[in-house]
Amino acid sequence: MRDFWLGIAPSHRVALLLLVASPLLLVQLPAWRRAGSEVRWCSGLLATLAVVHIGLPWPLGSVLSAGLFGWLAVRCLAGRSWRVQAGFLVPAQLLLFVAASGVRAVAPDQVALTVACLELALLAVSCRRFLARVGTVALVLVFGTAMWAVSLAAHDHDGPDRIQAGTVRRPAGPPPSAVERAAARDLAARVRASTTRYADLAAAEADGYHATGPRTGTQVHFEHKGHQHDGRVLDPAAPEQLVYAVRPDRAILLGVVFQVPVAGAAGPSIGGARWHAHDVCVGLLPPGFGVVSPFGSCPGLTFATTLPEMIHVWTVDPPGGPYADHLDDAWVDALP
Amino acid sequence: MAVLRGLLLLQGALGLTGTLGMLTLMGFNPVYAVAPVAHAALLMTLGALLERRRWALVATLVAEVLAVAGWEGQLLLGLLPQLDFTVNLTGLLTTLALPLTVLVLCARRVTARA
Repeated sequence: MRDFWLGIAPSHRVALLLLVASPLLLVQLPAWRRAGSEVRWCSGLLATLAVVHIGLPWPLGSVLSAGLFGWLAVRCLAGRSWRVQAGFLVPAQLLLFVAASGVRAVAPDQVALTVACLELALLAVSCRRFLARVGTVALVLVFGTAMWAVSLAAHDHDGPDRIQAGTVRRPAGPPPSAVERAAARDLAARVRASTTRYADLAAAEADGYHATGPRTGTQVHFEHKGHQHDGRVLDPAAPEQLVYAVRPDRAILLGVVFQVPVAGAAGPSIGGARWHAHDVCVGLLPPGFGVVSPFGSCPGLTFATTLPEMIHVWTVDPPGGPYADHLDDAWVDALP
Repeated sequence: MAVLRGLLLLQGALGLTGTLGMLTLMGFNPVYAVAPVAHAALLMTLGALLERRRWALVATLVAEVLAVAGWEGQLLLGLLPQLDFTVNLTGLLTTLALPLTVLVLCARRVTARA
């Protein structure tokens, strides 16, 4: 639960409170209590969305969007048409959410994504025709992919990644002191010196490093199970993973990954560099893994887990320095 | 029944989105999509059959019991020193509240028909 509140933007706490309170408000309405099951569900979702949109800051929420959802809730309760209007309103809201997140006008977080999930649930419950169902499934896929893209694009920025779709990161701490910065530079230099023996991928594989996924690609991670369980943290002579660009003709060592031995424990401070943890979906049929979706879900027949915190130390002088969060694939491709 | 069908449709669609994350990391090898897509298709098919077939209601019950048990399993796995489990709002909604809701709605239908 330690990362639960990390995923909620302070500006969305009022909306979260309203989200929790709205069912309690709904049951006070005699008209809602008297309605049939389907009307109760649909009007309940619409009313909840109306209440939550009051608490969300512009442009995620507004009096207009709250009013529109509220108006549809009333129409639904009164037995008047509302599905077509909701069919336009929900995609428009989701589009606005993606666009505002893309230009960083809003902080996409767990509350905003939960509201998006409720909007998609409304659409799924309300559609009656086959084509409407196909459209709903397509909208879920497109919105989920777009939020993944937003999460990846925000990867290098200082704020915590509240989408938590594959990566869990804490906010940056206080600025590092001169001593801490010097220690970080020293660690990067020692990593570079001690990994020269792994310039040849064959030497790394002979030492016990194995690819965690497909063995070719721009940034292939090779892990050493023994080093992951040796209890040592930040040992330049025994990094937990090595990262290579594996081309058909040769492999280039890009850097290393240090990992803490216990999941959930915070990594030691290294001159302002930020540790991160991956939340992944692990499948057994066949064995493999993927990233958790922006909806917090995994594909069927897989389970979600969060790996211990890790940090990259690059040995190839990338833009952003040796502790850059990630390497741009185009930059890696351009390496000689 | 429309509510149940809609929730199962959403659950299947969320599973399909997760499949994209699996495929991306596994080099777009279609083998990794077989089981998740079959699972999503099963949920959506069950949703379509709920009204006419009692066995579909029972099968949905079983699928949702497994989903809730899976969530609890994840929580237990997170107690291992090498693994953790990130609990967040969307995850609680889509992987716990959604299956539980479908489970309760199905259970009500089964008992009402008995």
